[in-house]
Amino acid sequence: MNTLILRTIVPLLTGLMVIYSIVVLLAGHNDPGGGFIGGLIAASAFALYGIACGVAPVRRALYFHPVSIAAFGMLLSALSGVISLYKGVPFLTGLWWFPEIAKGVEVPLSTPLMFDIGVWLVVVGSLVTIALALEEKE
Amino acid sequence: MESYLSILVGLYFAGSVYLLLSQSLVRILIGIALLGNGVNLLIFTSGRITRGVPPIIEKGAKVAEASIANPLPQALILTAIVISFALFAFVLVLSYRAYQEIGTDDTAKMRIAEPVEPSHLPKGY
Amino acid sequence: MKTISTEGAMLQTATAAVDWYILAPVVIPLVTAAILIIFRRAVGLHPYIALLALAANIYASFELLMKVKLEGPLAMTMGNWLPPFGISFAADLLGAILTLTSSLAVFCVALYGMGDASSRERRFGFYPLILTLLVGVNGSFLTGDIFNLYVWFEVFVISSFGLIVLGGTRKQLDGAVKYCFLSLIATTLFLIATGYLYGLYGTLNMADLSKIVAPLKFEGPLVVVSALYLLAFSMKAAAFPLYFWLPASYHTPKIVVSALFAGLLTKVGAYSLLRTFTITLPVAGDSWLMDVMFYVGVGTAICGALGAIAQTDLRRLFSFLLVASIGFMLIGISIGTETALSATIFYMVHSILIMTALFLIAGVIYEHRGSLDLRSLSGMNKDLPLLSLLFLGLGFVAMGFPPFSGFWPKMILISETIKQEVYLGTFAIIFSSFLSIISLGRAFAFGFWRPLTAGAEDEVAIQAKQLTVYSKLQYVPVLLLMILVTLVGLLPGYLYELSSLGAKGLVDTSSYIAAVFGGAL
Repeated sequence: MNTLILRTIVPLLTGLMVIYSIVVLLAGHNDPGGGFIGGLIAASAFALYGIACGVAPVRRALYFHPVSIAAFGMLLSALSGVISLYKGVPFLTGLWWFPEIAKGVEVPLSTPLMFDIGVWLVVVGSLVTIALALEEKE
Repeated sequence: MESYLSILVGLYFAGSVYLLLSQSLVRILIGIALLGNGVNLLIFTSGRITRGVPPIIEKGAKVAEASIANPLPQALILTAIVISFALFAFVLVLSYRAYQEIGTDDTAKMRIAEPVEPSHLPKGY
Repeated sequence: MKTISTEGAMLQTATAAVDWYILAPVVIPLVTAAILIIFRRAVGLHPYIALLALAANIYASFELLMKVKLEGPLAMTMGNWLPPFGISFAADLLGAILTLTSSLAVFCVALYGMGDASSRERRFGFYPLILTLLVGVNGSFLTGDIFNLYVWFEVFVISSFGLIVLGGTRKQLDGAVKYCFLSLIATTLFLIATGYLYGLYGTLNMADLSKIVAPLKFEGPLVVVSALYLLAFSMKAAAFPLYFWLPASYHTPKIVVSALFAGLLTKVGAYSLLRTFTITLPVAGDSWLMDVMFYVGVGTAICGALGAIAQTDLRRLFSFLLVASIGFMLIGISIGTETALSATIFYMVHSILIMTALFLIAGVIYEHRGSLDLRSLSGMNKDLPLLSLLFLGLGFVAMGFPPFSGFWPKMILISETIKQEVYLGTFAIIFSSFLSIISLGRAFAFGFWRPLTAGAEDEVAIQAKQLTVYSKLQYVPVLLLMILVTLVGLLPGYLYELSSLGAKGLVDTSSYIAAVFGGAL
């Protein structure tokens, strides 16, 4: 699969797919999308990068080991539920913050978002682990 | 509509039970995959098939305007799909490794853990 | 914009921080497992972090037990929803006792793993996997939602898949294939039953189901669902016709892993039977299905014990004893009176502790002799007196001799079978115990009493040279468990009080339902 066309186009495509996966992740609260489906898109982006340019560049690009990424996602998701402890509400209750970053611009942040980012990381981490292990064999 | 789907689920289960009863690991694997899909269809049918808009609430509203499809079976099925996908992937790799190490995919010949050689029992056993 | 009242769907009052004890036995190991995987290279630190977390977990489960004992069942519904909309967690005494016991057992296993799991195995996730296994087991004990129970089942099943292949020898792969396929089919059957249940009643909350099912007659689709649950959980608990996967696989993984499996996994199956046929589907608990379960239990108790006397491998012998102990639990659940249920809960606690201890002591024997085959093991009472004493003591516990914890639940169960005039149950329990005395007694006679066989001296000497500091440390978890079972045996009153209160909560479900629905029925 080491053709010139693929090698030229894939780095661009990978970047686009990762950005799109983040768009899908952030859209997920009110529209179709979310961490799981976004994670799948990002994981397939990295898998494609691995097919075109080899596994080593993917590992370099990710910097962290994919298993650690998945574990960090798990931690993030678990902790997003624990935040409710300080608010006196049950586990995994959706809590919202609206910090103003500039005049009149509110950024809605929430624990469901944190949970979804965790799911995104778990899916990316675990699927990239599997994909890279399979690609390394060949 | 539910009755047709029920028959389909039954066919899935019948096929998967037939495959599960065979000796070859590969057939058992296909049987498990079939069983998993049958279950997903079963949960989908259990949630009742209704014509309704997707359960997404419009911007600004707090409840859905029209009658919406039951969103719960979708959540249950998604959970079940993810889990069965993960377990199936594991079992697939495990069977492949076992085939490489043991050299057979015939479950009747996989006797490494329970060898059949006659045991020389100590006196008085 | 229309304002919409959320009173009917969402909780309006604040949740007290002490209610979080119900989540601690799940959240603490989960967070710790995640941290351990993030720092997967620091394998030297893994055991210490894991032990610290497990100690905190024991403390939290103990606090939960005390709270439940004082104030009755404790419940929390996730995400501020009201039941049955959200997923409920509900701890009654049964769940709280088993959570504490399994946390103790996992602590001992983690302690044993310090010397037994190599740094390579630790990097492959030995400690994170035992922690996630505990997450799954504790989640199963504490959840109040039957689909959620399925999810927790899968959590511990996938962790156990990871653990059973750790090491990857040929024998292990063979055992793992059988274990994994059967587990997968059992959990899929569980899912099928849950799918039907949802189709029938439109709810999966156990307390809600209890309210709906209680006035119904036991007929039609309910029979199918109950029978499927019986089949699925019996498969997971290794009951009579479907127990062959257990002795085929439990002697293959690392010894510390098999100790963990023997202590916890089958008990979750038995727990689920207990939960399903008392609280979730109360009418099924009074039906002819219980007669089926009774005969299954009798068959399990007798076949397990018969299997045990035929074995020469120590771990396979223990595996069959584990099967027999499941039979006693099934007999107890099927009789279904308050006394029988309390004996069952008592026996489950005993079984978790003793089975973990038996497999761990097999590990210590392996460390010293390099074999677990009774044909070659010999003369251990000469050079290993402490080990002999511990083995004899644990043997007495497992056989159910008076000063130890196995005696009391068996005695209560036997007297209850006589009172209920199910003499077949009486016979099965006594016969099975008798056979287990023979098999364990013979293991002791051959492995310990028999003088060292000719030609074995060299091997023993070679093995003795390979012992490390950790070999001595491995006695510690076994001793801890020995002390625990002896304490339970000498002071049975306290645990019996807890388990009979737990059984009362299973027979009279109103307090459980009230706790889940926040007092307002």
